[in-house]
Amino acid sequence: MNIALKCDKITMKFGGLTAVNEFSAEIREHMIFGLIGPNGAGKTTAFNVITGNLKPTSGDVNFFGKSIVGLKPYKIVSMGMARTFQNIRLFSNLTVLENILTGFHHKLQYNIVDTVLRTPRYYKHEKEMRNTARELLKSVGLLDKADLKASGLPYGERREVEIARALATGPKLLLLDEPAAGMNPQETLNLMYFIQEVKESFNLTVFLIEHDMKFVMNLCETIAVLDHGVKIAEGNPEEIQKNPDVIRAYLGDIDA
Amino acid sequence: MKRFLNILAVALVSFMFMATSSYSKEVKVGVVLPMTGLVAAFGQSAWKGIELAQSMEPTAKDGTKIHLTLLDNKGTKVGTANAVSKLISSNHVKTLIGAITSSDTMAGAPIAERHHIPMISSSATNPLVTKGTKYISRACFIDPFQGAVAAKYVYNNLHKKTATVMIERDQDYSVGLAHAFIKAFKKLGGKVVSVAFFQSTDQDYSAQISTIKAKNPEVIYMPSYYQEIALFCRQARQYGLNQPVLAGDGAEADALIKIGGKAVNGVTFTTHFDPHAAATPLTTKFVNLYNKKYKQNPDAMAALGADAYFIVLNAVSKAGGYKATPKKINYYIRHTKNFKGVTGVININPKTGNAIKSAVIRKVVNGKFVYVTTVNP
Amino acid sequence: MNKKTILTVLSVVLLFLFLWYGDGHLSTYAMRIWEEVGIFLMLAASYNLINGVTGQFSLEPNGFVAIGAYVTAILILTPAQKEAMFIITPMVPWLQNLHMSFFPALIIGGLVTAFVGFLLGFPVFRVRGDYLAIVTLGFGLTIRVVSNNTVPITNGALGLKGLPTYTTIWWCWGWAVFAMIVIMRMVNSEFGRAMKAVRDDEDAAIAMGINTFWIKMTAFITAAFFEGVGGGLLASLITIISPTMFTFFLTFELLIIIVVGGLGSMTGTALATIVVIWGSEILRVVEQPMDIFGLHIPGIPGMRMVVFSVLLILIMIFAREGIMGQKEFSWDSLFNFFKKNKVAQK
Ligand SMILES: Nc1ncnc2c1ncn2[C@@H]1O[C@H](COP(=O)(O)OP(=O)(O)O)[C@@H](O)[C@H]1O
Ligand SMILES: [Mg+2]
Repeated sequence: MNIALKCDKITMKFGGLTAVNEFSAEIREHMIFGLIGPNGAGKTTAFNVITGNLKPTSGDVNFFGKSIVGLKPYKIVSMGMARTFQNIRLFSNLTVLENILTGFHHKLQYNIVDTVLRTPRYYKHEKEMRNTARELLKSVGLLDKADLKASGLPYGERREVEIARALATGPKLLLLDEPAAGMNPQETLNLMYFIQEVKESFNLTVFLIEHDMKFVMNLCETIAVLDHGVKIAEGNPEEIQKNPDVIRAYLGDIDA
Repeated sequence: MKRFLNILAVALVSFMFMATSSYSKEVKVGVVLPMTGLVAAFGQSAWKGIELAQSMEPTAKDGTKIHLTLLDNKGTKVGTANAVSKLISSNHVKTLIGAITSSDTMAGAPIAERHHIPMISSSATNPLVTKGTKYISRACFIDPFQGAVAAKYVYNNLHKKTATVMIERDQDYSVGLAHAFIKAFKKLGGKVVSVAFFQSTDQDYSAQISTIKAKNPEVIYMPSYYQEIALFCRQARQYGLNQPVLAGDGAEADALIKIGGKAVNGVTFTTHFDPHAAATPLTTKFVNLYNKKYKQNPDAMAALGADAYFIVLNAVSKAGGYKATPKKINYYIRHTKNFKGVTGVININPKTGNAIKSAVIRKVVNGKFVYVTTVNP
Repeated sequence: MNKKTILTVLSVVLLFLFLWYGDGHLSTYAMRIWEEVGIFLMLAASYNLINGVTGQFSLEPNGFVAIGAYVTAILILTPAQKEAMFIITPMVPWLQNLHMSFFPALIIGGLVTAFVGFLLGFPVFRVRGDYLAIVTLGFGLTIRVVSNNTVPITNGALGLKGLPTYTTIWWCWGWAVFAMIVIMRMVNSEFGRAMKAVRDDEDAAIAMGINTFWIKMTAFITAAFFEGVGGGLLASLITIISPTMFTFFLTFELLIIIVVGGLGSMTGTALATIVVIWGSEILRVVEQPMDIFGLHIPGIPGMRMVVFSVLLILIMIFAREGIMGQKEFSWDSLFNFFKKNKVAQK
């Protein structure tokens, strides 16, 4: 099986603080990979390095065999990597449909001249994009919300829109940063099904960060644990649950 | 909110009706002045002069009342153009007085010109203001004249042959006067040994002072405004630069003495008017009434404003009172001859619309402005 | 063409019919203010594109308008006029002999300004952070110093005078409508959505694969172009320009317009332009001496601005997001409004 993402000893330093320390991982295509760890462990930072938002101090990121370190984030998106944020970041003044449409931006087929002159090409592709966006919304069961302002949706649905928006970019790899954060158990359960479904129907590889152990244990095939920037364990859910280092890291976190 | 807006609209409309009461036998004259904004002090002075002049002589010979409508141009070009436009097309004025600065006046002038409405500025001294126009005139002399008068005074009265000219490069006014001075001074046989530039925002003149010291001219001509002159004089005297400083009417403000203190003693400048040197009987009358009404001496802006009014009034009388057409009024404004105004005897050149009149030279002596002499054109 | 397009075209035709009627029947003063409204509408819509739609706080208008004004002025003055005007230092010969008609002069004015927008935007948008406001504010001040000191090009403090009066109501509104169409089409496209995305959340926009740098550049350069053209129209309307003419006050006035109209709303901007420009003219009555019920009130200069400010404050209190908020006027909302009223009547 193909390797979708390979992190090779990535290190990210902020001044004196080493947020991520020589983190390595291999994520195979079509799997759901989980990254857990206490608050401040460096999980989001690792994501930011992978998506190109941060340039690592050292190390390499390989995406389907190509090094992507130093590429602009929008470039990486167009190569097939999409993400969501820990705190939901929708475009609050746009409608749900418009939020989805922004995901098509990087493969936009008309230019500014078409826009101003409203050429047939503009109408054709604008229509196509809208249709595709509606189909996408339909497939994730959000079509009836298409024309609502994103800021007006309930929390759980906002998260789903955010994931749908990421899907619009046409990713092969989807990065989800604490998707269940702030959700009640029912919403969390819904989300779990949602991710599973989406993964199947869009043929994705999923790399997710989660704080909620249960969520990760049920969803992921392989889990890596990060503590103070260092990967202290990797394995399947049972292995991770039994790992004394992991237990210590989490108990320490609770103590603190 | 809606009800509030309704009430407001009703109030505004009723105000408008009440504000436009009309007289039957009158000539409407529009006045455009900067009553707010950066040069508001000038506009307010001019308005005081105009109001007083109107109370002195409110009607033309045949009893026609002069009805003044004042619009504030905020000291901006767009404001002036809008005000002129409004006065002509909404208030239907037959004549305009204004504006104060040359650039504002020039922004309004094309509109007056296009509508054949005479416009007289009390104090726009830039030569371009009236250039090529048929309907624009002024009650004051032009910048080159002021510069030339200064040159004449330096060469003939002070018998100085070398000068340095200090130019405030971002002031149209300063550049114009300096240019005229240099031309006239050279023509008389004088020598301009150096030209130094500065800017309105400059606080430090040491660079200019050291070059002037090296050239050692007999006089320094600095056509600028009072703050800059005061500041320059203080620093120049400190560095031991003691040559006489000459300037234009921009120096004329009490603040010159307040800021400059002892350093500005001896600063000599050309200007339009001196309340203590009665040029005509009207000067005395105007100065007395002004003192009574406002408890202070009129400044040049007030005197020039009054003259603009008197010139218009005179033209309306000659043009037939309330029946006067703008064209006729313009004819008589432009044919003002030997008019004994507040600032002196005024002739207007019918071809150019420029006033031909004498300039006054004043000097700071012991912290006071003192009349020196009058230089005829 | 659908019904809504026909309605929009119809209203533009109506607008021009109104202007055509006004040209013959309204006072020249009223038409002059309408000319100003046209120019300011173009300036405000452009300004709203970068500030309201794209959310990049910028203070560029006065500097950009100045560039457009100078370029256009230099191009429409005749060589003879320029020779007579440049009394301190003669003009650079090739500029002195450059002379063309109004339309190409406006276009070049706009293009030069757009290029300056490119040069300013390029370094600023490369980095994250709110540098744009400071840079554009500084630029506005710099333009003044530069135009004062490049005497062989700008005639320094003397400014450029006696410009031909080409600007008519048709030029003003022709450009205003054109600018509105271009800007609104841009806003209602993927480019506009990307601009709003940048405004709402730049990180998320990046994560969507949006090249935020170019999106900001597109908005900024488009705004610059129209601001340059507006400067050219203003120059020929007022017939005189000088370094002190385009101060921060112009930017401030436009800022008021776009805030009153609603940041991001172009139709709101159009409404607000009319309200602000006409408002300050109509309020002149409060500065005139009045006799109310036998009581004589002398005219108080500056009163207009006081009343005007109070009105603006009231608008901001009662409509916190401006007249239109971020919404646009649309035919649908109008139909819905009437439908609702009908239902209510029943
Ligand atoms: N841009 C940044 N600059 C400086 N420090 C940062 C930055 N981003 C994250 N950090 C620090 O790096 C550490 C890891 O943060 P983060 O990756 O957000 O943790 P988490 O595992 O909770 O997602 C924290 O101590 C955080 O304060
Ligand atoms: Mg995190």
